Amino acid sequence: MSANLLPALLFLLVPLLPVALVPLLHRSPRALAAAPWIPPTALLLLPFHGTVVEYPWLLLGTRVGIDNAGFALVLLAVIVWTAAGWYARRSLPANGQPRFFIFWLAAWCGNLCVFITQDAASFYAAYAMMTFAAWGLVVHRREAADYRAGRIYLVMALIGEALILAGLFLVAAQIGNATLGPRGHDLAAIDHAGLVAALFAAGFGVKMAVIGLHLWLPATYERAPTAATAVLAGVMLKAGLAGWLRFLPLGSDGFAILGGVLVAAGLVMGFYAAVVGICQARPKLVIAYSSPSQMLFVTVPIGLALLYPGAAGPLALLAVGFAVHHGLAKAALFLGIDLAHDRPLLGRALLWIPALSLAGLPLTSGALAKISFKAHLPATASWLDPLLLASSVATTLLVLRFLSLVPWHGTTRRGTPAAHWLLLLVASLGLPWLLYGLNEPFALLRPFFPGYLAETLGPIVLGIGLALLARRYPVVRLLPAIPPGDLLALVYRLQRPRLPTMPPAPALPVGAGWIATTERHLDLLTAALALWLGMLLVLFLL
Amino acid sequence: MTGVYAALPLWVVMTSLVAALAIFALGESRRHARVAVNLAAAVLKVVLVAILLVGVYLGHDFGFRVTLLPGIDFVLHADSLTILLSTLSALLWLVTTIYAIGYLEGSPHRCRFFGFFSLCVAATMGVAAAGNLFTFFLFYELLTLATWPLVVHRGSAEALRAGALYLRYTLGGGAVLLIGIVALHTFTGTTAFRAGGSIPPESASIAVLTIVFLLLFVGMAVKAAVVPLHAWLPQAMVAPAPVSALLHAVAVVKAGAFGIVRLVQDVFGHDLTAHLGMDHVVAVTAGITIVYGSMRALAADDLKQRLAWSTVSQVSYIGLGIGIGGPLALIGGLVHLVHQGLMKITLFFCAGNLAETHGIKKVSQMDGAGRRMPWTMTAFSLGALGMIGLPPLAGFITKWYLGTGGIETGQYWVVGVLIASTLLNAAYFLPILARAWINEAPADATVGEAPAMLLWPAIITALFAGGAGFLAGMPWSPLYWVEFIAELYL
Repeated sequence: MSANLLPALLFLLVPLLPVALVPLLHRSPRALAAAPWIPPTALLLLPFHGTVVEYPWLLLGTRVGIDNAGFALVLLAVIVWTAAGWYARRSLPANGQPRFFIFWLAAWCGNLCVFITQDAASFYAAYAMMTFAAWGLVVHRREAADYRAGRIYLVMALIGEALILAGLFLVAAQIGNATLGPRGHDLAAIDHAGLVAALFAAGFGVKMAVIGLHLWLPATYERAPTAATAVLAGVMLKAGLAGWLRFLPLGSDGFAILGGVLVAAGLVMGFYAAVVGICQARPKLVIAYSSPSQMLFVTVPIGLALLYPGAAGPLALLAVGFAVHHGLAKAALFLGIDLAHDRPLLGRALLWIPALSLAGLPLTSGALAKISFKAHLPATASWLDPLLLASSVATTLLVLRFLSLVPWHGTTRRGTPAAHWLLLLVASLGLPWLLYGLNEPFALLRPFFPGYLAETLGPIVLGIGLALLARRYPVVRLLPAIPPGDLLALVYRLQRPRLPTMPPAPALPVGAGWIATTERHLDLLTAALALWLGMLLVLFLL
Repeated sequence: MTGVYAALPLWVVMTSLVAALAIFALGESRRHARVAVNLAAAVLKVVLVAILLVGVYLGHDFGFRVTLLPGIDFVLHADSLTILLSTLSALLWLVTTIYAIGYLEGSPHRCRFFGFFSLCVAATMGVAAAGNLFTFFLFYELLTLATWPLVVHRGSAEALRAGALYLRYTLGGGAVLLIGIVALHTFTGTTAFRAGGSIPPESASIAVLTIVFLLLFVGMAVKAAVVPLHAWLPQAMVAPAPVSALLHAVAVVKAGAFGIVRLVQDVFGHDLTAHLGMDHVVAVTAGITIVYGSMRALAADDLKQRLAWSTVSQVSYIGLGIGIGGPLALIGGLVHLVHQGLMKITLFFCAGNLAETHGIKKVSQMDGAGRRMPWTMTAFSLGALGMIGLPPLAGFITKWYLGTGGIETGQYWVVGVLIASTLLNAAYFLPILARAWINEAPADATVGEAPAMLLWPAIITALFAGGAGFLAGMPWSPLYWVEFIAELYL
């Protein structure tokens, strides 16, 4: 009992700590100062890797624990949330900070729980908490454009939640509150398993910005304060991956179509988002588009895991490994935009590292993730090889475009902190090696193989060459001006729809119209009863 | 002694009845005595209901029977379903009494108010403990009459108009109910409540049983505010906040919903109801009500009116669960009886606090309310997010069971209704929260929390509402008790 008591307490207290801090933020400056230090407390959970704790009295019977994927994702979350939290403390206007950190802590609590919960109801609870709390981060500055971005974010999030909920109901009607994770229920064996898997793939696909479901992403990333964008892109995006890992029947036969759709969607998005991103004129937007583009390396492995159930285990871990690499590098890039402005020297010296890491520069985590993925490609899927190389070229172009747009000409502001950024950079360079090494020591040897340099450096050189050509013959001017929000902007232009506004325009006028007339007539009970009988009659006839 | 113990349901009803008479006798001026009687009765009732709860759990029989006319008995009993409603109303009555004392501080006619207030709770207890339709009807009508003075308490023209509408509806509904009860008694010879149904299926032709069922259902549906019999409820929100809170959470609409549960589960039994095809009628009308109520709530700017439309929508979750049938949906419907009560009473307390402290009555005035009354708005937010069905709050547990119940019985449209309702709830609650927490308060706004007697009831009920979801797996949670009830019917 005592051996289990400690993890049972920790797994309960660590997620509750941020919630306990929320009411204090407005009144105590000390609580506010403590807020960015909350994420590191989750490190206390990591020693209990493999332990599963059950709380039958919590919600519908909660199960928490840290499995392999959870270990890597929690580590990623702690680093990015801590670094971004420090930055938010330093960079945001003081009077708005309590409000910001209320949503920040709530989103952190949800985000952490997404990575550690192992039953369907609690996972969904955590996921929803994270999603809705993040809305408060998006609209933090309270300008009209923020609310517009927040509205798009909410609408898409609600669509995702509805899809997930429909899937959850289908599962729960058969097996109740499903146990997830390594020794969980087999979601491939239930009725309508194909429909359930498709619902989960699409529902969590909203978070993963699968093509068509990514409409919320550019506006959200642009409007949110930089610290919030870093956690949105770095970690919260990966909650979608956690959902896929938990709810998709990876390793079971019979989901090849869904797998194929995911592979195709990942590839299309990889190139589409890169092209749209290159056409953007603001650095934050360029790098915002690199997220859906880079999710190619997460979506495709998951799709392949469905296509090749035999290789599902390693493929899923590769997706997680890439997620960690991408999360750290992306957070470093978003926070680096401001750094380049305030500390140009430092920025100029170091910002290219995470940027080219995304493209797969040799010895960076990007190269590690990409080469490992290629090594594990099933033999019959080797046709993907050239496409993956091409995507590296596209990414190189995208990050070069980003580097060319970063405002380097700021003046050095002494005392602008950089520790958070250096932490991210070091973690981004080192941590993926550690995780890959723990998982598969052989991965550490790959840089010594012949062909490594050509494979990793090739696309980058090609990309730089293309960029130089573009500079020589300025095609940049020929770039179509694709407005941020791509498809959404197109839809707006085509028919100028009105997204449901919040607060909504009265859908039903109170003073006029047939409904109001009917309501007035309902003041007479006889009329109500007559209508009632009429409705019953209709029901009978049906 | 055993007779006294077995008659516990009677004592539970009598507690409030005696309190009501005592309060009327004390008169307007003796304020301290009135408060003492009020609180003593409320606490005593909680204790008695707690004893009853443990007794029912241990399987003890409770009953009290007086034959009024040959074949017509006045019966009070206590089964697990009784406990569900009586525990909820005993707890919330205590909280609401405290709130009402604070709310009506210094206003006239408090004797009348608290007298009828106690009478109203006595009637609710009777509705919960009634052992047959006849007894149920007595308390159901008493509830109607005891509530009217509360609705029109302010005495304004608007209140009187709403009160008249309320009376027309509920008395009309009561008349239909009475016809149904008489018909049922005539054709089947019984009106008793028994788990699984008390009337023998072959006692009358299908057509007769169908008509009787519909009469009874319409009688209950008026109080449960099922569309299109709902028009009285949004207008009755002119009542003082504690009345609205009680009306929407435990008393009137709950009596109607509770009646539907008794009708389907204990009078006809779910099998016979399904045989008559009436389960679909109950479920579909509930589904229509859920969506329609939410859509009307969108357009309401008056805060209490928006909450009232939300009640129209939310109470029908109970009917939806009962109509769908199947163990999971039954649990979902019954547990919402408690969950909706806890969440809605919190929301009305908070609406009352906003109006009393800062004069905020409309949604459009709520900018920055979170800064002005942080604790009240925290409680409000818990209630509102729970109504939307966000996990881990109580509404999520309801939706989980209703949705899975719908799929379990192959009625996939239920999931559509639930998702539509979730989106609509989000559309009418989230803008309120966004205004309160994100927007800046107007420059001339006053800042300050409500007095303790108004604030604490809201916080306590909000904690209950949060706990009902967060700790749903805990023994003695509403979900736990409802699962205990469901064993009886399956």
